[in-house]
Amino acid sequence: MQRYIGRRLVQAVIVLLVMSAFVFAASRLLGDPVTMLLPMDAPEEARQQLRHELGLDRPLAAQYFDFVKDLAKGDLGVSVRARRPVAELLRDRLPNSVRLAAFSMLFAIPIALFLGVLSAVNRGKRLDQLSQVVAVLGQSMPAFWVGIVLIEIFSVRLDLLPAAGMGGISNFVLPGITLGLFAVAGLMRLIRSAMLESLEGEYVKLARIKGLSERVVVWKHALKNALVPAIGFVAVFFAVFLTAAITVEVVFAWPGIGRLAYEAITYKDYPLIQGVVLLMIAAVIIVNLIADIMYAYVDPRIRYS
Amino acid sequence: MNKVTSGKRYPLLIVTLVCVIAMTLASCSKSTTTTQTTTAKTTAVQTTSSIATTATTTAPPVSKGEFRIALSSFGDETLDPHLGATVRARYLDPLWDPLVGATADGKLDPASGIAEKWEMSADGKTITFYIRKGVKFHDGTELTAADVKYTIERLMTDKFSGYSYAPQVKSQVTTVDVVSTYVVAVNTKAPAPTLLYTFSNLAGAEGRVVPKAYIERVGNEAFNKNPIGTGPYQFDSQQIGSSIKYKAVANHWRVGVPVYQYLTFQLVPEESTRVAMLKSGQTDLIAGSADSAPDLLKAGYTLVSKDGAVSIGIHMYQQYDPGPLSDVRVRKALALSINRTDILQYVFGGAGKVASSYIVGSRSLGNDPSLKPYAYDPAQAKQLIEQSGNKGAKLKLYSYARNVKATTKVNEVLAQSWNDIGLNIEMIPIEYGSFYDNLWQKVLLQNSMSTHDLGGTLVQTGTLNSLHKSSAKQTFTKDPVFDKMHDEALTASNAVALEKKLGEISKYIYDNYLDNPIVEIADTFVGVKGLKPWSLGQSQYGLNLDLMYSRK
Repeated sequence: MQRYIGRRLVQAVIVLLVMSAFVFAASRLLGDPVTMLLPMDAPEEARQQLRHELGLDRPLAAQYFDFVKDLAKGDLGVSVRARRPVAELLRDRLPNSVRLAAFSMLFAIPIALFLGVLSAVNRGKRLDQLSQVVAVLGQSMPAFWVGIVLIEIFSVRLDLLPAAGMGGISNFVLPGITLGLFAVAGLMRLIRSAMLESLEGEYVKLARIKGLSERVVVWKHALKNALVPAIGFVAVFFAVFLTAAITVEVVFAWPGIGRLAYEAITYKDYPLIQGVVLLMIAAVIIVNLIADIMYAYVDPRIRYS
Repeated sequence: MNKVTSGKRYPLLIVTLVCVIAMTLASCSKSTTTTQTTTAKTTAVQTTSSIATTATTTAPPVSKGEFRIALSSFGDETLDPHLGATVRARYLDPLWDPLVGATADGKLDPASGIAEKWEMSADGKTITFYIRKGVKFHDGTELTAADVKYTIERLMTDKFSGYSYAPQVKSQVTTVDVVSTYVVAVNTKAPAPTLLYTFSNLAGAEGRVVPKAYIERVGNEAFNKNPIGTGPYQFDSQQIGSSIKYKAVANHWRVGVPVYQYLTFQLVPEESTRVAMLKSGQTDLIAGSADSAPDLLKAGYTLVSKDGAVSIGIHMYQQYDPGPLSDVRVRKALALSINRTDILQYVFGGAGKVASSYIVGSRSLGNDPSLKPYAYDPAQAKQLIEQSGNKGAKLKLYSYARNVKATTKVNEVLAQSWNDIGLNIEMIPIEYGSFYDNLWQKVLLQNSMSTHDLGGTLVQTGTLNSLHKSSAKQTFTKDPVFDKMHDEALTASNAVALEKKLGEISKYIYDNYLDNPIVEIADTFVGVKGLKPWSLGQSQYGLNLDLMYSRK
């Protein structure tokens, strides 16, 4: 297992390096950030001076070399807009996204598990059909709309929960549900499919023959095998929540990585764009590695060399 | 084993789960919001009761409660007043006093600035400022002429001279001399009456005097994170991407004891969320719009707006190049074919007025109220197109939304109107940032236009320069008559002469259809019920919050 993890880490570094070059080049295609930072009537000398100060007047190769050199030291540069180190901005905003993603998964996983198992056990019955409808609705309703509707109901009309911003646990509920709803739908369907397959297994028949209660058969024996594909799904979705929750973060004024990426692109803030994208890539790599390790734990048949 | 039996257990489990979730949600209290709601309501009442208390007893007033303002953007989100765009005035104004004071209706005012008096030399090349004694920075040190000199020289350094109105300071000022502890002389290359406006809150951030000793001790980066000024509020905390919080000083020379103990600016990009926060008591004032304001006002919320804050007009690029736009008949036709009244009514909900001038708008020096908006005469417009031989001429209309989203709707109306008079308009949707790059590289701009929103700034010499001066990189026009008039404005001997010259420029643009104004719309804010509205002032972005939290 250690060799496997080591190999994966080396691969991660290579991926990050390749992506850094791609991100570096792609962000330059957005145009000149100086035009967004200075007013329309700023003189040309001021623009040149700011380009010089930001290092944008040097050859691209020199800029990239410095970028990689600094990256190796953990220095992601300085945001051209906020004038703060990119690492500092990411450090401030990443925990907000992690907390929201974690809350969303805490909301989504138990509900999806419960509904998925229930649906599989009651296959073909009304409960199963209702769950399928819930799944389709959950996956088709846009997060933007869901968020605004939840705010209107729970914050404005019922005055139960805050409409936006970060704060106590109550601030997590609406954005967490909005973000988690899509995952509930997908995860529920995945668990249902996996459970249906699992319940047909010989070992389940054997467990029933042995006289184990249906609850133990379903929730201990069948579910454990059904969890294997679900782990990958959860890992992918956690990474998605971390990196692509832009609409939810905008609607709920949540100061996370998604909104930071949007602001960076709007202002053509190259260093920040590079930092955010590389962080997102690293997050996906790490989360997938954790998922692979969990696979091995859940399924003894899986062994890495 | 008996799936039917097992299945019967599940409904009970479902019911239990639903009950647990419902109870959990119901028990989740909006503790923060409840407190803030109470605070806001208490505060709204507080204002009246505090004044009443002061009138009848000798108890000294104290700052209480918190006032929260939800904005759609913080701009650069930097706290150093000289390190970013002018739009930050929305949240930076409470931290600093301007060197030159101004009244709410845009008149320079010695009573409300750091300089209690100023004098211009006979040749107009030196402005001497007499600094008010006893003004303290938030760290307790006194503001002196040395800080003013440091501030102006700082603005002229490479690091700070590109932002806001700093380029004008750098181009106009030669040296700054400390005459005595409280007297400073600013020397200029030529008479520069615009400097007085530049150093006020009416223009940008250049008039905010920063502490020399503090910055030299901690450095620019630390100052950006923990700024100190002389304003009625001092910096308390910032959560990047979320909020900025200030705390009232004990007693301020201009506003007295501020009404609210805390002032918090919340960053909430989505308008529907801001409205929800206002309705649910999570904030006290929101940046609104013509879409959201009418319903809120009907429900009893308070409107606080700045008329004429934004001008919507048409940019016509490279009019000096041979082509349809270089013909004044075509430009006149474009102007006469726009039904501005309908656009104001149906696109902007009537919130604003039809404009007669684009750059030198109703809030700007030199605005001529006798200039009437161009008439709506599509028949004449059609004739002009035919007379000029441009029937069927192809023109591009780049459609983007900069700060005002409704400009894309305006473009749809314009394209149809201009097609109706015989032109061939190609509307090209584009993201503003990408378009702006093309602007500077002069790519794809020939025979093209765009609808733009412009902030209503008091002194528009800068924008006039960048849009119409021959020497400017972005210029639409190359006209020696305009150039001469603009030079004369820049070297006007005093504010009266400056205003007169700007008026002449405005008339020249109007007569030659060099701009095409459409409407002026208000900057709209909506506050909690019972809030006493105040004038948002004449500055481009400032909220004139003095009138909200001042006891004087």
